[in-house]
Amino acid sequence: MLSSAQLQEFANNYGIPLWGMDVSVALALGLLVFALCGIGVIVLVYMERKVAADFQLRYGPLHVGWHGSLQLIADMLKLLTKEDIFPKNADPWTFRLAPLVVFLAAFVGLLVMPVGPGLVVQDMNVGLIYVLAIPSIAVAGLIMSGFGSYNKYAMLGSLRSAAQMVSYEIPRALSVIGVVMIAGSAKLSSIVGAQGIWFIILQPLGFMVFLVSTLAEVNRTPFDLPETEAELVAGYSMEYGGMRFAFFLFGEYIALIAASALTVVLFLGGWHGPGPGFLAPVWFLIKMFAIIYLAMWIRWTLPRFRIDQVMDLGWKVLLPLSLLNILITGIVMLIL
Amino acid sequence: MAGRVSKFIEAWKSIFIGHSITVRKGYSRGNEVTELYPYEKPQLAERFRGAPELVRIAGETSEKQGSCTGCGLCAKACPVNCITVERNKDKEAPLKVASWTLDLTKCMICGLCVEACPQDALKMSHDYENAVYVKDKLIYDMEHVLRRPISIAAAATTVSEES
Amino acid sequence: MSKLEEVKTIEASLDNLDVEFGANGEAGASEGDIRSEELAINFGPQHPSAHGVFRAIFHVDGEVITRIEPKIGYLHRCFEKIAENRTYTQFIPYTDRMDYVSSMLNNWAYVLTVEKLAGIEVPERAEYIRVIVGELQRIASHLVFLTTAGVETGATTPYMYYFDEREQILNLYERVCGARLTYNYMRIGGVSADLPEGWLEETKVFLKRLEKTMNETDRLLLGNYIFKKRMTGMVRFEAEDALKWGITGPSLRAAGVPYDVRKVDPYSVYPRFDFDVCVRHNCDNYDRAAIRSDEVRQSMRIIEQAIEQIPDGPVKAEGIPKAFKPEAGEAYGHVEASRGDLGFYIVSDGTTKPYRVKIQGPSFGNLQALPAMAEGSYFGDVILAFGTLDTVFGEVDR
Repeated sequence: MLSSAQLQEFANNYGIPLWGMDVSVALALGLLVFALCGIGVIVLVYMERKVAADFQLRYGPLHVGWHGSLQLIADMLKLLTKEDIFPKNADPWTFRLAPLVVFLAAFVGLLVMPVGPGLVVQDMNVGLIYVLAIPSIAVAGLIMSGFGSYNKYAMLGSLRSAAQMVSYEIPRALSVIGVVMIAGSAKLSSIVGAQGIWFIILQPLGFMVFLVSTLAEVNRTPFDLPETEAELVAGYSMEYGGMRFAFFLFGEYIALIAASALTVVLFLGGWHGPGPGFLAPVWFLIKMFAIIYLAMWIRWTLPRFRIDQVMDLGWKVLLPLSLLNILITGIVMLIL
Repeated sequence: MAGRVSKFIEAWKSIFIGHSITVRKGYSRGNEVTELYPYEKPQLAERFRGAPELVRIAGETSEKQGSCTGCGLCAKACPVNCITVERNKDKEAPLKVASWTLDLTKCMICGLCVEACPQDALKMSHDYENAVYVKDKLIYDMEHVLRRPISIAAAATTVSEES
Repeated sequence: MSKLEEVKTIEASLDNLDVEFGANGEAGASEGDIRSEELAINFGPQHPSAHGVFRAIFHVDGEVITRIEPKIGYLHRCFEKIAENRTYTQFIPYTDRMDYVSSMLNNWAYVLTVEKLAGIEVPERAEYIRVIVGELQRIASHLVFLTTAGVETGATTPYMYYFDEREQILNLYERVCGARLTYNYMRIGGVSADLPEGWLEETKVFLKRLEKTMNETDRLLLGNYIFKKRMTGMVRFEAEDALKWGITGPSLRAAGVPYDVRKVDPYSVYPRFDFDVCVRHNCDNYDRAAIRSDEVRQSMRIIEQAIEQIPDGPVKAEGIPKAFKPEAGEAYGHVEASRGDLGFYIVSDGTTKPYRVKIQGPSFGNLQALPAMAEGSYFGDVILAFGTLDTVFGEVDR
């Protein structure tokens, strides 16, 4: 990253106002992250299909490109050429905006992740609170999609999904308080810096609660009831076809990327790893993909919960456990 | 309280066991169970029932009609009446069968015609790729079903022989 | 009305509500109360989790089902009428296509009844072969069921593990009779062809492999905590209700009633084998699913004993004319099919074609009980319960 002194010099030399400089740098970095996200989604979808095929004793995509690597390009082209179906009674604004809201809410969570020492788009002092709170706007997007579809099945699905996401916000936020207590700051880069010993060892209960809540937040099995085929035939995204549906898919995968990046930053030591400093982003990526692989492994092994069991788990099990975690952390910190 | 804790532990244990099973199955077997059709064709059993065909023993029976004598028992045995046989009325004619057609659009590949034939002239081929672009091509006439000459030994192993 | 006017009318009606608050502050019912309606959801013939073409109208109050109206007939192919125009042997391929997931047992039920009608005795080797292929078919059918039970709850991986084993069974069948789904193997008086060489050894090897896979995959699916939580205690259907509604087969045995045609009214050479009738006592979803896994193990036992005891000999009864004409009369024969008690009632008038063939498909009786089972349960659980009933619509509609 360019230091602010260099940026100010640059701005002064060319007569650009300072706020213009800030905005353009932010835009450029945002676009970079967006492009990386796009590549990330492509890699992730391919990885999901291949990992699923591994567990299911089959091959996965094999013919398009080398071992099926271009399969996703073919799928994207197919989705782009599909007819844009707009239900007759659907509400135009909510129906069209919903995928964008879901996508953006997931995407902005990535803007504070420290990929390496100093490699972060915007290192906020309240980075942790930001990254826990802002992606919840996706709930509004889900309700918009269900409501705008003018379809009772879609409405049911979106309400269930919204209820599930909102319920798991609380244990998720509480489980990271232990981390904040030990690291002493909510700034994500300081949390990474404070991890001499990885927090997964110091906070096993917190990690477990956080992992389960995160899986519920990103709507993955075993908590993917809102998208289940068996009952509600794709839930909130039922009326969406073609590129609009692809946006929902993007949103889901980017949420997964953001969530696993957060897990790595908070519990797995961020970019720490043996070797020279420029390998730090590589270690980050390796750990992030390990968590993503874990999420996929879980998805293809476990059946799914019913919605009231999901609520039970969130409120009656994870919430007390996260509070217990805070208590234990506090007591141990007092003793030591 | 103790009940809840033990349920908790049991839950996590079953989840861990489940994961170990999937990962073990996923990475221990070198071979996947997929057959890469059409690059690898499946190995068919000897008795596989594909579309019916008439036996033409190379060099022995008539090139034009195989072992078929036009008795029509196969047509009577067929549950869906997909075989039509016409015997040549003229006793002196070289060919005994005037026409023999099999309508593959109706055939349910049950094999009852093969069992009914007294000359063992019918056999179920191993032909399963029967898709055509024009439906009329699925009405097989005698010429079509006599495509493949087989040896005498292979002709002897029809299903009706063994029973 | 335009959308704006619709919204205004709804708002106006909401303004007119007058909810009284009771003495403790709870909202009591009164005139002008908030109306809650039942939702009528059409579970159409095309649905990812309907086991075949099934249509039902679910009347739902929130998440709780109040009433189900099943509408069947989408797979009706007039088999019973067709039977009146076909000879006895010509009808055998049609019986394959009724319960297409377990065809051998359908064949067996039909030829059993015809043999009863005409008083034909089947040679021993043919009986043993029938038992072996019949029990293998039961295993194959239960593997399909376990697969779908997993997929309904979201576990898509056991699908491949179970279907790998089913592929081996279908390969064995291909070696015997040439077909993989609609076998047309049994004939009146025996089976159509003897087993090929080495088939019995291959079957023994397969059984060992199957046992290993069943143990492993059962721990993955049936032993999984989430699966158990989803299925245990849900949609209980007690034994008296089950008997009243005519459920047979594994769903009845999961309620504690040890009714198995192979023990109650033995046919063929079953009395010579040592096997247990699987019974479970909580009549919930989980038991209906897990009992089929128990049955697979019992079937494996039977096959092992049959392979040891099988004698040599002919596989078709002698002296059955090609134009088979039983005497005029009637007969009823039933077998334990993989879904329940499959019965055939055949009336003959002395010609080569039967006068009337009436088929009692077990899935028809099981499906009748669905509305009674489902009242008062959650929507998701009812879908799962319908899955555990294991209906195949070829049998329901014929």
